[in-house]
Amino acid sequence: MRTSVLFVDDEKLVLRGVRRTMLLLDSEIECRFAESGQDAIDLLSQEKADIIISDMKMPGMDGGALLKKVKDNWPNTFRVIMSGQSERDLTMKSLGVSHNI
Amino acid sequence: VVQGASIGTWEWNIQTGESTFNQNCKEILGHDLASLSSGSFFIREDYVVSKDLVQAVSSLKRHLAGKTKDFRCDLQVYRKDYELMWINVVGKLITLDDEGNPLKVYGTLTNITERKREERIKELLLKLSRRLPSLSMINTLQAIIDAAETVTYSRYGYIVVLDEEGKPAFSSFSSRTYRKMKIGREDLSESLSDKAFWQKSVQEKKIYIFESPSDLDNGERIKQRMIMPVLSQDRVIAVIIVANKVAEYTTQDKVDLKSLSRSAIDFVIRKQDELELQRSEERYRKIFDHITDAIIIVNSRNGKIIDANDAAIKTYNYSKKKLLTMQWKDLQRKSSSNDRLITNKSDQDYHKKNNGDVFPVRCFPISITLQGRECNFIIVKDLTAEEEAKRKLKITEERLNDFVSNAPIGLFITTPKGEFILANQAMCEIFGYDSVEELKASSLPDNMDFGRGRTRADFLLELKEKGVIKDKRFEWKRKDGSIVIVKETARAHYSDDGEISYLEGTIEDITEKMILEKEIAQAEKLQAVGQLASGIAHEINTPMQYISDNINFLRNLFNSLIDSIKDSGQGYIENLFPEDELGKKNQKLFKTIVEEFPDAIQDTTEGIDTVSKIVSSMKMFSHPGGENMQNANIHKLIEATLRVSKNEWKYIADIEKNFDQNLSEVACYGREFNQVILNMIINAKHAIERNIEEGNIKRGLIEISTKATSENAIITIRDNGCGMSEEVKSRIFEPFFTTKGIGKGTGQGLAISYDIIVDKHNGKLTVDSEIGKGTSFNIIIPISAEKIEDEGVIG
Repeated sequence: MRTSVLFVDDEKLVLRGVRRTMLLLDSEIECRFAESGQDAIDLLSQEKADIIISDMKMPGMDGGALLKKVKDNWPNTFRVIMSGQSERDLTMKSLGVSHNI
Repeated sequence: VVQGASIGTWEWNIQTGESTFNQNCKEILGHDLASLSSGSFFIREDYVVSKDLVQAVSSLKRHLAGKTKDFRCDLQVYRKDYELMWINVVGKLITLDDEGNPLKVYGTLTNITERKREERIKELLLKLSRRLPSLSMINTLQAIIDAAETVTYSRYGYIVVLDEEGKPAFSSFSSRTYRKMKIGREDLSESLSDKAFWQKSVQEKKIYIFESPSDLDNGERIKQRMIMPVLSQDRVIAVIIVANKVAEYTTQDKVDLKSLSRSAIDFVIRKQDELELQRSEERYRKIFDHITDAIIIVNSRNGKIIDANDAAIKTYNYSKKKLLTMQWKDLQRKSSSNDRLITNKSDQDYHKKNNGDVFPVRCFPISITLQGRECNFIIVKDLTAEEEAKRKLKITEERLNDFVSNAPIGLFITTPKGEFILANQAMCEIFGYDSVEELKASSLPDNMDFGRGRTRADFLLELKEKGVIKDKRFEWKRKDGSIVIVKETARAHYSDDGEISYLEGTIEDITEKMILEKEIAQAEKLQAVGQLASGIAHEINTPMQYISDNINFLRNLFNSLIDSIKDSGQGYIENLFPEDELGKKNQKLFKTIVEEFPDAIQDTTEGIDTVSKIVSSMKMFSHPGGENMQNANIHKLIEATLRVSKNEWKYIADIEKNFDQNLSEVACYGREFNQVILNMIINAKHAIERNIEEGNIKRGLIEISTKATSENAIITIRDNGCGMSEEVKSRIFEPFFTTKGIGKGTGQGLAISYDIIVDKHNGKLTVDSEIGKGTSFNIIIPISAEKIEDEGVIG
């Protein structure tokens, strides 16, 4: 059984970099990429993922809101928040919805 | 006394020298007529007092010489008993002999002793009255006793003044007695007075004549004396003793002495009264003139000024002479009826001086009677200094009150429990109360939080220890529950038992200051970051340079490599690796490399470009030029600002740029201009956020357009945020005005923007807004650094 991971980031180039990194890693991991929260929900609706890794700050639905939805709809999906920013408020917000690594 | 009641007649035969008298003459003269009949009686040396004799002889001679119609003279003659008497003799030559020589003189003789004595007393009194005013008391006494001695034909005289208890106070001998005196005064006074008669005379208030011989050491002998008590208001005030008249003392002497002494004593009393009066008048004048308050004496009847003291003269600045011609009402600013003077009520009024100056006074009138006239003795107190002091005090008080009430800092006095005894308006404003009364009635003291779990008791303890608490920060609740940060300075007052009786101090609202301080700290941080940013940008630029170079090198190298491999034709990858398992794995890897490498390089190049742009934008934003106004491409400035602030807006809004390509260089202070654009973008962002929250829009749009007119550059920043009311719009350029929550906005952004555009760039900053629809700010600045013309505003 392959592990499926969904990456979410509004920066396309970031996703492309992640994809390339993943290309050379474990082929057992199935990667999918979404450029917004809504995209991620759509993709999960088609097929659920084992792990969701999301950027925090995004236009529209931000990382926190997304993971909240994921938590509600797909509670078994392991949720990870990525943030390069030290935005305290948003990070704190995410703590309640993400799994802690 | 019957003597001289009738007229005597006589005739004198000059040739024989014989005189004949009628019976009346005998009675008048008291002499045996026979003893007088030889020779003319009135020119007999043994009979007539010598000085009168001379006069009588010369008068007779002139008559006999025919020079006068008749001859008359008053003569003092000795009666048989040696009593001196005055007679008036009038004679006329009646018959001549044949040769025309005088033969017989006929005449009359009248006793004029009584008249003469009276005249003499009068004369003596007249002399006395002339002398007395200039004499001392003792000399006065001597003058009186001299007169008494003279009037009684005495040879010794002595007067003793008694005090109120009837004891001798002082005494004087007559001048003649004094001259004759060889013995001591005591002895002489004893010789003159006689204790028994003295007492009798004083007790009975009667004159006594008595014989009580007493030899003196000058060889003379005191014989007959007359002792007389001098009465004043039925009290014996003095005793007069005269002695040694040649003849016997008579009743007439008693009468004369009484009459003289009464008048003389009257003189003395009057003199003493006068002296007393003079002294008291002097004293009064002295007091009157030395009193520092003005005193004016006014005739109550007609209001005329009768007297004024030195102070009054000085106060009103009139000469005394002038003042005494004036009326009381002339001194008043507004003349009033004189009726009010009669009332003894003190009154405040305004008076005027000679020079017209009006000054406040208080008058204290006192009704007095002066020389029989009803007068008002008025003390006039000049209140100028008092009024001035009052006025100054009032001003000070008003200033103090005004200062306390309107001081821009909260001032208070409270009980140790914190109940307000005094609080000013600023105090009310700090705590959000409408009035001092409301504040005093509030439960504010009960709800004060002294921080870190401390209580009022702790606060008081600290105050007691330190005496003064300075700049203590507290966070207290206002009336509406909001928090106000205050700085308190307090001082304690103590009662006698050493306990705090009350507190006083100041409260300053430092809420805004605290926010500002935070902001300043933030701004300083930003400035520091900004300064660092250009350094960092420079530091980043260097590695970016060689990263960029190396990436280009790698891309070219890779392309050359792939090209050379591709040259081997279709299926070159398969050709490179054997068809075994490992080979297949490598084939797959190689495929990935060929596919992904150019993309990775491309993405990297894009990333490098982005970083380079950000770096140059940072430089552009923080250091667009020098400190001075310079021509700058405002489009580039706007772009740079947008780029550095991208993180602020990109998640909620899109930016639409409509730049007028005719506009390029505009004279501006680059950094300040960027600051304004940034403020506008941040404001737009906040407005958009709110509008999204309110559900009016999903995503924001910030439109930035520029337009060049002949003179000006117009930059319009339009958003589709929440907009603002007219009331808010009218206040947005006020410092510290903000509609944003605490911590989010300082209320400084637009005020600073206004300053930058209007004051520094000589431009205009206008705003249009509609609630729920959006706001647009118009920045109008001159293209060249000249004065802006009044341009219509876009939008």
